[in-house]
This record gives sequence, C-alpha cells and structure tokens, in this order.
Amino acid sequence: MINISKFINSCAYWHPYKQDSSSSIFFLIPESRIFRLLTFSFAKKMLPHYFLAIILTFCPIISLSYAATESAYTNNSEVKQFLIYKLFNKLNNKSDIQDKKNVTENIFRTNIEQSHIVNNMAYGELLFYYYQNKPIKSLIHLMTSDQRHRFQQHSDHAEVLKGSLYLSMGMTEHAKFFFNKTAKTSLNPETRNKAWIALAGLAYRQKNYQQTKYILTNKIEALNKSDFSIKQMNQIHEYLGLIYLREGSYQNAIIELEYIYNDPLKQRYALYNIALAHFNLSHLDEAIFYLQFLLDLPTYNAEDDAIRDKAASALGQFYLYENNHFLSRQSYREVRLNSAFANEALLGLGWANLKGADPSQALSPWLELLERDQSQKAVQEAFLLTARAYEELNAYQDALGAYITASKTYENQINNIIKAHDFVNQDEWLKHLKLISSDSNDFLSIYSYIDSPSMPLDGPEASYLYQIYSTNNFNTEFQQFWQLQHIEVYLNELKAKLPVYGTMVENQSIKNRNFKFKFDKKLDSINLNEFSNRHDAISRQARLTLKDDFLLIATTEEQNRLDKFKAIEKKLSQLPETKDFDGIKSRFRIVRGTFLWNIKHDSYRRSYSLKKQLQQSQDELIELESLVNKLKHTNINDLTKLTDHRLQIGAIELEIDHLIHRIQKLKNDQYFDLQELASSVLNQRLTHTSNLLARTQIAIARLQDKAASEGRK
Amino acid sequence: MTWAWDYIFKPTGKFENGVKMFLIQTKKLVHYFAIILLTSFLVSMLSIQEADASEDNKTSVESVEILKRDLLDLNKELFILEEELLFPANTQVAIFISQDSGNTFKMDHAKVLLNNKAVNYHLYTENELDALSRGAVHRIHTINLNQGDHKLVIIFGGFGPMGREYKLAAELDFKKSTGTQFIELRILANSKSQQPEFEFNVWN
Repeated sequence: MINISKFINSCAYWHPYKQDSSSSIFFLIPESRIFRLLTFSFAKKMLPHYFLAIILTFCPIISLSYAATESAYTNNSEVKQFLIYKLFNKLNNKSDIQDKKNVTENIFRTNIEQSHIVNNMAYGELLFYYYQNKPIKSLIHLMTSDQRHRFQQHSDHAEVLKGSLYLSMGMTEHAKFFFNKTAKTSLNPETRNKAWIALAGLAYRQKNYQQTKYILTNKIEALNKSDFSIKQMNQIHEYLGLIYLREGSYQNAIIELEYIYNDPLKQRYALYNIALAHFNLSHLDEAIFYLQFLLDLPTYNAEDDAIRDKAASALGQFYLYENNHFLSRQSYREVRLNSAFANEALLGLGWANLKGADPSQALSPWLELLERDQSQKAVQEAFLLTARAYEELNAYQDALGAYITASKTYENQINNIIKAHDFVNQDEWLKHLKLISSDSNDFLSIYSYIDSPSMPLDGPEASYLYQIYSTNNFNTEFQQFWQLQHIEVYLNELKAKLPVYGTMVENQSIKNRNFKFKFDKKLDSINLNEFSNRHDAISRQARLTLKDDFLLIATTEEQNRLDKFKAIEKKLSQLPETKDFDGIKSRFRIVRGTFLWNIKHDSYRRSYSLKKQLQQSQDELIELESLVNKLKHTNINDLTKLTDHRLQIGAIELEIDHLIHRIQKLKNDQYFDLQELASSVLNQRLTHTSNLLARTQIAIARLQDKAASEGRK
Repeated sequence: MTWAWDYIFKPTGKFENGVKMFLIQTKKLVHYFAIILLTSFLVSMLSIQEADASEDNKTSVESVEILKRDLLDLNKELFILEEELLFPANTQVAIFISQDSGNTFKMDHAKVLLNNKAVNYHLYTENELDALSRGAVHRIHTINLNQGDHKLVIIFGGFGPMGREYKLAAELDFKKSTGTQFIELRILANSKSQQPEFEFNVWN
C-alpha cells in the first residue's frame, strides 16, 4: 500500500517543486456548501469561484492516495456490468423514481395536512415568521408566547422549533439544550427522532463524530418508513457514510452512502465519496467506474458542474499517478476552463503531456495558465514550469527569458502581498466592509457589501485579500465579527427608538390623569351604602307586609274596589237590622268574600314576583358594588403599571448600554484575531512566493553558468 | 488549643490565676478570629478574581452566544412592554387569517374594516403566501375595542383556479367581552364549487 506522504512525495518527484496540497483529492462534504454560500457574500466578483474551490477542496478528510495500490488495477468487465446494472437501477429506473416521487408527494401532502392542524393562534403566528426565515422575530414571538403559556398542545413542536431557531442564529449550546430536552421528554416518537437527528447534526458540525454515530445508531427509534421524510433518511445515511469514511470503515461507508436516494445533488456527492472509498479498498475498477459515471451524468447547475470538474480532476490525477498519461490527459480535458479546478487541471495536463508525449505539448496548458490571475499558486508554479519545459527542450534562450519573466512576476507578487499585508494592518481595515440591513428589526437578515473607495476591488492586492476572505477560518471568524457589528447597529437603533416608548408611557399617563379626575368624581358620586340601606329597608318592609296583610299587595284597581267595598259596608251598617236588609247584607258579604278570595289567590304569585324583584335588585347592587371596587382597583393597577413601565424602560436603556460595551470589547478581540489570521495567510503566501523567487534566481544563475561554461551568450 | 474555661474551672488553680489566664486566652481567641476573618476575606477575594478570570477565559464563541441570548431577552422585554402599552389585555382584539384553500384561491391582498371603518390593508408577498399554505397564521390586525357589539368585515382580493380575479368579503358581528379576544378567519376550499369559503373562529 502507498500512503499519502508517499503519494505526495511521488508527485514532488515528478514535479520539480513542492506539490501544492490543494491538488490532491479529498472527500466531498456537501452539507457545508449552502452555509458558506449564504453567509459569505462580500467578494462579489470572485468569491463564487473561490467558494466552489473551498467547498470541494478545503474540506479534506482522506486522500485518494490511501487507496492507490500498484497491483490491484485489473480490468474486470463483469464488475463493470454489475455496477452499471446497479447504478442504472438506482438512478435511471423510471418506475422506481416514479414511486419515490409519489412517496415524496405523499409525504409533502401529509406534511401540509399535518401543518394545517394548527388550532393555536400563537403557534400559527410563530410558523408565519419561521417559514419566512425570520429567526429573531420567530424567537421573540416564541419566547413571549412561551412565557404566557400560549402554545398548549403545540409546546413540543415549539421546543423543537426553538432549538432550530437557536441553531440558525449560531447559538449551538442553547440549541443543544432544547433538542436534548425535546428528545428526552417528548411523547411523540417522530418529534423525538427529529430532535435526535438535529442533535446528531450539531455533534457532526462540532466534529464530535463518535457522538454523532452513537445518536444515529442508538437513539433513532425504528418507525415506519413513511414516518421519516426522505430528506431525514438521506441525512442520516450521509452523516454515517462520512463518519465511516473518516474511521476507515470503507465498506460500511459505501453501504450507507448507497442508501441515499431521490436527491440528485446529495447522490452526486455520495457517488464521489463512494468512488474514493473504493479507492481505499483497492477496488480500483469500481472507483474509476463511479468517477467516470459522474463525468457522464448530465449537469444542471453550477454545483453539478463543480462536482463533475472535481471528479475529472481526481481521475486525471489518478491516471497521472498510474503513468497512464493518455487517460490522464483525457480526464483533465473534461475540466472546464472557467471552473474552480481549471488551474490545477491545466497544471496536471501539462504534466501529463510532459511525461507522456513531447515536452513541447506541455507548454500549451502552462502558457494558458500564465494568462491567468498571477496571485494563484498554480499560475505562479506554471511560470517556473514553463521555463523548465523550455530548458528540457534545450531552448535555453527562451528558458532564460521565461525564468526572468517568472522572477519579475514573483517580485511583483511579493510587492502585492506586502501591499495586502499593509492594508490588513490598517486600523480601519474591516470597517471598509460595510453592512446594510434589509430589515432593521431582524439583525441577522443583513446583507454585506463593499462600499468604500479605500477598499481595493480591482487592484493587484485585491486578489490576495479575496483569497483571505475565502479561507474557512477567516470566514468563520468574520461571521462572528459580522454578527457583532450587526448587533451593535441593531442595539443603537433600538436605543434611538427608546424615547418613543417613554413618550408612549407619558401620553398614557397624561390620558390617565385627565381621565382620573372624572373617574374619581363619578366613583365618589356612587353611594353604594345609601342604595344598600334603601334596598334593605324596602325588602324588610316588604317581608313584614307580606307576612301580615296580603291586601297590601293588591293592585290600584283592587284597592279602589276595596275602598268602595268599605264605603258600601259603612252605609250597610247604618241600615236597621231588619229582615228586608239582611238579604242585601248577606249578598254583599258573599261578593266581598269572593273578591277577597280572588285577591288572596293572586297574592301568592304576586308575592313571589315581588320577592324575585327584590332579589334581583339585591344582586344588581352586589354587582354594582364589585364593579365599582374593580374600577377603583384597576385604576390603581394602571397607575402602578405605568410606573413599572417607566422603570423598565430605564433598565432596558442601561442594559443596552451594557450590551454595547460588551460588544465593543468582543469586537476588538475578534478584530485582532482576524488581523492575525489574515497576516498568517499572507505570510504563508509570502514564504511560498519567496521560495519560488529563490528557485528562479538559482535557475537563472545555473543557466548563466551553463552559458558561460559553454561559451554562449 | 486550650480553651478559657479550662483555666477558670481548673480544679488545681486559684481564681485570680484563672481570670488572668482567661484574659490571656481571650486575647489569643481574638487573634484567632482575626486570622480566620482575614483568611476568609482573602479566599473570597480569590474566588471573585477566579470568577472574573473565568468570565475572561470564555471563548469568543461562548461570549457571543451569551450576548445573543441577552439581546433576545432584551427584545422579548421590549416586545412585551410595547404590547402592554399599545394593547392592554382587557381591550385587545387580534384578527388572524389562515388559509387552507389549495388552488381554489390565491390571495393577493386583504382589507380589514371594523365598524365600517377601514383599519388595515395588507399586500401578501410570495413568502407570506408560502408560509400560510404551510399552516401558518397571519396576525393581520390588532386593535383596542370597548366592550359591546362590533362588526368586522374583511375584503380579499386574489386569483381563482383559472387565474380569474376574485374579490370576496367575509362579515362577522361579534361581541367584545372582557379580556383579550382572538378572531380567526379561515379561508377554506369548497371542492364542489371550486370556490373559497370563509369560517370565523372566535377565542376569548
């Protein structure tokens, strides 16, 4: 077996100078691509080019050369046929794809249906912001509603959302806490699984691969296939595949990566990684087949093209290593001239030509490289290689000219690096990268742009600056600096808005004071005791009356009749006690008796009605009393609340000042870190270019010596 | 360590000697206390310094995370303050719109009229429509209302299945009671008529 150092050494053997590590082949990690593309946008012109280079090149895990063996390369057509069958079954089987498409649609539909069962306005409103990618608004809404216990049956989902929102804000520790909580407490196995997958993703990002593997293999609960989305399944297999690759468990990695389906982009990355796993297992036929298969796949976007270029470059490098110069040339030619790997491919193509054919053929790709950005390592190396090729062709005059040109180029580049270094060491360096907010309420949805005449955009040093900006380390550090800057802008805006809150409180206070006078007067005028006393007196009298004489509840008409009866009775009593009048008197008694009996009969109903009315008026009195008390109490509460609000505004202002102070301190620390980082990158480039210059000058001296010894000019 | 009472109640010594020894021992005790106090003070000072050092030793990532959390808390406080000032709980009425109309109706804008008075107009973006189609709910308006009867009218503009322009209105007579009131208007699809339907839900 040949190890990586031997492979690089062998490259160095072919190459007169140290091989650039970026041209070796690495596994691809797709998950980081979007993150970087979204968060690093200030180098408008050149960064897309660098991004792809970073994504595909600066995510190294294991080199291809681990796999390269000297003896295992055999042409096995059966293997090829089997793989073709397998891949075509996997990728091109229409019915299969159709089925999976149906599954996706069903899952999508199910998701929509499920998400529509939102009977909680607070949760629905949270989703409104969440689906629009407004993390701050979502989180504030979530925290407020949570404090007021408004989520009810959606509290589990809200916890998962909280975790992912914290994650999207880069608050990994908080996110971890909430995912853990949900994973352990949720009653729904699907929700638990979601939380575990999120935790695994977090562990993976933090390079805690054992933890990721443990979660994915032990914690994910076995559910029906339809309970997982395809995206989740693919994510699990991808994480496991990449971890197995890191561990050197290539067979397992292949098995996991082969599970990825119905996601063309993820599948492309998986195919590339499967190829490299096969290289590591010395299955060269399969490895080559997978890489070749990637080359044959049609591409639909820039990322597809970049993966294809990387595969072509890897294949070219492998063939070059195998001394199969013809196939190496063929593979390198598949790399697009405007791609992120074009420089390395041109350099490799030159080498393949130099080793496999006439050295003069090496000149054409290298001369093409000389026309490119001279700050690029591959281009700088091409300057030296061109001169070397002339030398090999015995064109010493041209070789000397090329060496002198290379020397001048290196000197210029050293000057440019020094200029870039001076720029980086300026106090106001990072302040040239200005920021603009798309939404002042959301300090994360801010776009950056370069808007300063002091910022070199097209100058010779600009290229080096862009290269610094596109490094992983700088990118990560700058993101934090960037966020701090946004937070500071946001806090200053918030501080400027605070007087508005003060005015709101004052207005409310004035309104309350004006209202209070009328309010108190009105409240004072309500004499509840008087009402109560009168009511008591009436009800007491009524009760006594009802008890003693039912005639008192007779109607006015009845009272009139009763009066008439009394008058008649009086007159009848004045009549003599004779038989003639006895009949009249007897009739009168019967009529009066009947009348009184009628009144007595109605009196029960009437007394019940009276009692009811009395009770109602008593209830109304009690209600009035409670309302008056409540109003008095509310009034006091409001006044207290306004004082509280005033105090709260004061406390918030102090807190803002404190936060701004902390931000400035953190920003200063970050600033120095970034400056140091940029300096170290530039120093590395300076050393590299200086070495090239030294080698060029030695070569010039050697040629001059040779010319002198041979008596030539 | 020998305690003072050993000397006072020492069976062999005289009383005067005992008092003298007691005074000496008291002095010693004062010294011991002073030393203990000084030590505890030094220990507490050291622990404070350690706490400060641990604050300083926090990585910038952790510090930024704590800062963000503080900022979120601050925002939450402001949000609550704003809501309490602008919309007290006993008068607040919030109007929400949710949509489950599928392809029968694509909302473009909505106008809210309360008691025959236009109070809000909202033009929907693609992102908002996408969120609504995924089950989200939009708080279109929040207002303070007195207790009693009120009339709510929401007029929608949008497009039907064949891209035909629609203008629809939904009306609700409701009674404002004490406490916060939520009114949700759901736009549903009537699969038979291929027309959107409205459904009001009121929560107290």
